[in-house]
Amino acid sequence: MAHTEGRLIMDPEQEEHDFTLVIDRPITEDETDRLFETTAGDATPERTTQRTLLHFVREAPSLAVAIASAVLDVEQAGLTTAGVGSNDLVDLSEIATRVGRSHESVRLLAAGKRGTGGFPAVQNGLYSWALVRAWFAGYDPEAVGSPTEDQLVYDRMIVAADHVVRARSLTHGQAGGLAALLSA
Amino acid sequence: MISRGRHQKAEIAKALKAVTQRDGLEVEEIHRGHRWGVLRCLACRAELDIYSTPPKPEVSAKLIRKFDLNH
Repeated sequence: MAHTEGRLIMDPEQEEHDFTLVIDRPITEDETDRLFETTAGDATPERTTQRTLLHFVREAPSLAVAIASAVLDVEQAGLTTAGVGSNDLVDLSEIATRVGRSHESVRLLAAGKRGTGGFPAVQNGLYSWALVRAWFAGYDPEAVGSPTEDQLVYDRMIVAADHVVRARSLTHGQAGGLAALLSA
Repeated sequence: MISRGRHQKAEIAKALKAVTQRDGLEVEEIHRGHRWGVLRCLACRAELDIYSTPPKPEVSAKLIRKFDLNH
């Protein structure tokens, strides 16, 4: 078996995928037991005062299939998934910390005044770490752990899954034609 | 009830012993439903559930070590 970030390759058909689903409240003891039954024990709850993180290690043909089936299993236990844990939104200070550069260095890269240009766009002062990491993988790979293409795809899929799960929560399953956009 | 009991899965018992050797984390045995107990951060009160019969004990052990790193 080979290890890659976020997954453990079992064979070409089946892999183990690590990810975390977020419930926006602490779950009860009864819910924990129901969750064990519906997930066959592959979700481990971590409870804080305000939310519950469900840590999954799930075998599936792909990360997308693993997350989708996990969300449905959680719903079968009577719980609603609020999102997929990603820590994706970061400001310049956090980027500077993660890549080991000064804030000014990162600010200049983001502004296109240094580097190769094409830094990911900012939205409300925040950047997507999945996109920033991919950018650094081309500019200064060692600063972001020299990720493989598979690892960069994993980062993007986790963030995309978070958006999809949040959209599902927002629309209560009434996404209508919007769902078609994902596969168009 | 704070207990010094040992989880029946060796990987989990070893991980719990390692992470509770420092101050700041405690183990509470519960033995109700599927839960053997919880690993708790004394500072923020976050709790990681520990199942009695997890399908993959090595995964539980890894999560225990990760909980320790994050708290």
